[in-house]
Amino acid sequence: MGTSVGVGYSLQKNPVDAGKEAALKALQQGNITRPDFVFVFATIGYNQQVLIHAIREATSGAPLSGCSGEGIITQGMVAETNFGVCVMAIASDELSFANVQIKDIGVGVDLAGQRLAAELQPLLAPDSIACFLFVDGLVFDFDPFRAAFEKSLQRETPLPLFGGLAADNWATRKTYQYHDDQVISQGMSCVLMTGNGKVAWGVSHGCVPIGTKRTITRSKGNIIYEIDGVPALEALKDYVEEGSESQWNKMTLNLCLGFKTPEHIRKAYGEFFVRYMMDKDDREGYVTIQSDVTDGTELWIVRRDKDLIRQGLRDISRQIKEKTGAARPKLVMQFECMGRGKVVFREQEKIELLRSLQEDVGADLPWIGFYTYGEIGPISSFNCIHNFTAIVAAVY
Amino acid sequence: MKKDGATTDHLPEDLSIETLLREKEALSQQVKRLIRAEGKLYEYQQELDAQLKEYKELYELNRRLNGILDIEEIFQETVSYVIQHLEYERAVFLRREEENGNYCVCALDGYYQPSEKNLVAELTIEQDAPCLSPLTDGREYLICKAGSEEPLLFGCCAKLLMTEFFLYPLGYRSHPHAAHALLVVGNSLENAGFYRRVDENPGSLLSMGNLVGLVSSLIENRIFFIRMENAREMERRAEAKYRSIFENAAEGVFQRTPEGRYLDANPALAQMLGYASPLELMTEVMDIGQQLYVEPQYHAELMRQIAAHGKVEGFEARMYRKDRSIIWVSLNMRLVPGNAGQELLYEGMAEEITNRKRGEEALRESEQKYRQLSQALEQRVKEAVDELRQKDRIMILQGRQAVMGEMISNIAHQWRQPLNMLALLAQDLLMTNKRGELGDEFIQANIKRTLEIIRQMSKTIDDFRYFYQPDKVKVDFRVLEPLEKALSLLGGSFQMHGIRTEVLQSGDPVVHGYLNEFVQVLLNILINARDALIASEAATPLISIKLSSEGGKTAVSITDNAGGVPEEIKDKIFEPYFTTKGPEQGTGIGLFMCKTIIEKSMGGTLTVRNVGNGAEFRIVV
Repeated sequence: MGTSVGVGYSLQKNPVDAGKEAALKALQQGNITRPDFVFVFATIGYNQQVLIHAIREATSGAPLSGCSGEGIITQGMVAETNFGVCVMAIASDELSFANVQIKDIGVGVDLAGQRLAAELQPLLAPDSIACFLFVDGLVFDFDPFRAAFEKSLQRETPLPLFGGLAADNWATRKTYQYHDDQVISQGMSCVLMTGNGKVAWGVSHGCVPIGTKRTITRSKGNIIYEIDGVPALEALKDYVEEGSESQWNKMTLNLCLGFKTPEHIRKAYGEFFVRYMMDKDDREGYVTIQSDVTDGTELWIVRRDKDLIRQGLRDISRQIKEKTGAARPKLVMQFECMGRGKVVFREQEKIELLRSLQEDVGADLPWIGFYTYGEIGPISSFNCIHNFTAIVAAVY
Repeated sequence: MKKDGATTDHLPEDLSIETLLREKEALSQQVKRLIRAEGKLYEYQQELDAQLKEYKELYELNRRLNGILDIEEIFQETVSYVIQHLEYERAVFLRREEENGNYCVCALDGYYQPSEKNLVAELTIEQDAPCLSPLTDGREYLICKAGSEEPLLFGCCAKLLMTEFFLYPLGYRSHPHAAHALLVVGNSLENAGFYRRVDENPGSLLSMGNLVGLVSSLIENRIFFIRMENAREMERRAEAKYRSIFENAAEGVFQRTPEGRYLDANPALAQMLGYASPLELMTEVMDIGQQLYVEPQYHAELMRQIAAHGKVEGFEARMYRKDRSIIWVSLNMRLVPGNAGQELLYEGMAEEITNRKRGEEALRESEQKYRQLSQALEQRVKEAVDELRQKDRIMILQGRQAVMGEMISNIAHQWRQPLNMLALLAQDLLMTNKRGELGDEFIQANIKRTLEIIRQMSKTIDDFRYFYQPDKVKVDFRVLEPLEKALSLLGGSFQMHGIRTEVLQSGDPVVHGYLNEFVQVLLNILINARDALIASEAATPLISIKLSSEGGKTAVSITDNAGGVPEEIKDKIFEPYFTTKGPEQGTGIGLFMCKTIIEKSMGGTLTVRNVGNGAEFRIVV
């Protein structure tokens, strides 16, 4: 039998109709009667529970994982709208997918890492390939999570983590994670892929620093209190138009923070990694990012360079093809930062970029993805979180 | 290096550091401006992309809708467009009902629960709803924003299940005073955050304005198209109807020029005039007045009348058929004016009335004959009536003579005793004289008695003469007077047969008529009653006469107790020559005569009925 994969999407407003349409299209494309696993990414305009229920019904109750995003991506289609859903249906006798969920990660992300490790431990096998992770982007701090997770799993080499931080539409301040029939927030949905397969992936951000170096003079964990001795918000306010503070989430998409890449991954990744400011506190003047920093950490304001982004996507397809060789990927997942969508690209540019990428990686491959609040993907063998980045993972 | 060495060496370094710091600051400011500018650029880019997308989708919608003729389908496409492309949660189209002017839902789309959808689908907004009044005042649209407490719109929110909405009128040109349809787009409270908000920002108003303008124009075009189609259909039907009537009419129908040429003619006209087809008629007849009219002056008169009055009805003239045979035609024509008062043509109908004319002539002749016959008949009837009247007079005379005979018989009977008394008185004188007892006293008593008897006998003659004076004129007379006279005349006869009479009178009724004829009637009836009593041998024969006035008329009823009139002859007793007596006792014309006198001469009634143990003859005059 091998692996059959189909992807469908829907832009209908009615969650029942949308879920059913996307699921049936996926089944039809993959020529699948009863899938073994289903991935779902959807935007937040839907009644999420009704949507998932409709998909489950159409897919015969197959195990399901996924999350909400700012937009959805499939083969030749990208939609950043409040009403969009895409479904990937997989039937395979060479790959198996086991899903788990962790709730209430906000109480302690490191604890969440331990809990996830505990859930996955019994499922791990010698041929476990990778873990797909979909986490609430509004409450996540990657570094302590990763540390606790990898420590708890106690593997020789870390289990590769791919995925994205669930997003909303910058306004609602609530994201969703899907696990079978359940829709939760402030949680994570995880899928362990095991079997006869590999993952080839590429990571690229296309950002370039501008201006002079700034220094974090006070911080704690993933909170930056001061930059150059001045409250962080104060230090950053000159970079935004007056009055745009009320649209913080959207405004900060244009205000990327760049940090020097750690030495051990600099060669593979590039000189800077980029961070997105998820949250702020007007009273205390601090900002929150999705990984930890320390006092004295140098930062630069970086901007997205369209040419670099284009180049970066070509690099991604190159990286993937270097690994896959002649083998045709069975499925592809794309985790794209929402800061690389319509906020920076014209609609036509965006579609052309996507098509170009997809043609490079492989035309007509089952392709699914979403626009995230952050991207998770390894650099070399190190699991990292990224912002303003594209991660494309091809399973072959 | 200067003499003091160190001081001179520091200055350039400080200067360069200061310069670098200034440059750094400047660069920093540039970076900030760049970031801000880039942010704005991306924002405008997004807006532009959104607008381009919208215009493209609107263009596609326009293309689709242009191919749609059904207005209901246009409505449905529009609400779908609003939902799919304008990103509102709900869209409802309400269409104006022609009957009552209210707006009813004809299309809706969006995310509803099934029960909500059914509720909204049945929504009606009255044409004079207060919430619509701003539209009739000229406002382009209504807007209700979330949280609005505008009382006029609050009710609409509840009905539409929308917390915020736009309401646009469409298709005003087809209805000057009310929009043809209303488009409502908006969002519910719980889902508003995920949809395009209802807001009067330029982008939203532009989107809605473009859509409404497009659809409104399409609606008006479709309505116009439908009306055109309907008008064409009606025109086609009218044309077909007219053509059918024109072609199949039994009468000739035509249009002609004032100069005398047919522009159009139907088969009936052609056939009437003996032509094989309307085309042949129109082709061959170039001068109607000269070619068709037997008397051209009639045609001239026809033209004159049309010119004077604009139309002519029932104009009759003789016309030639193609074979030069002559027919009568009745024409109805009217003038059809052209532009600027110029005569254009005449149109009219022609009916062949040859048969009618013949019939009229025959009728005239028949009428003449009838008149003559009628006059002859009248004369004969008059003669017959005169004859009958004469017979009646003769019968009355006969009746009178019969009664007179009866009277004479009565008089003779009444005189017999008085004459015997006179003879006795004379003999008594002689015998008394012979005895030598004749004295003055005896002679005077004898003479007194004799004169009394003679007076009574004279009264009988007077009574007789009273009854038999000829009637010349109708007079008013008291009924009692002739009755008493009649009873006086018949008194002796009644006495002889023991018949008692009684007269019951109410008032003093008067009759207008011929006195003697009335007397004849009374005598006849009294004599009949006497004869019936004699024949019935009644134990206590009685004749009761009642006189009264009833309703302005005089009633005289004569009742006997002779056993009544047998039922089998009651209907015949007034017939002439009917009698129950032998031929020597009566001629049978008495009651017939009485009825004739009372009913024909005096306009009254004479009836008979059986009452008690006798018959009642009732005269009402």
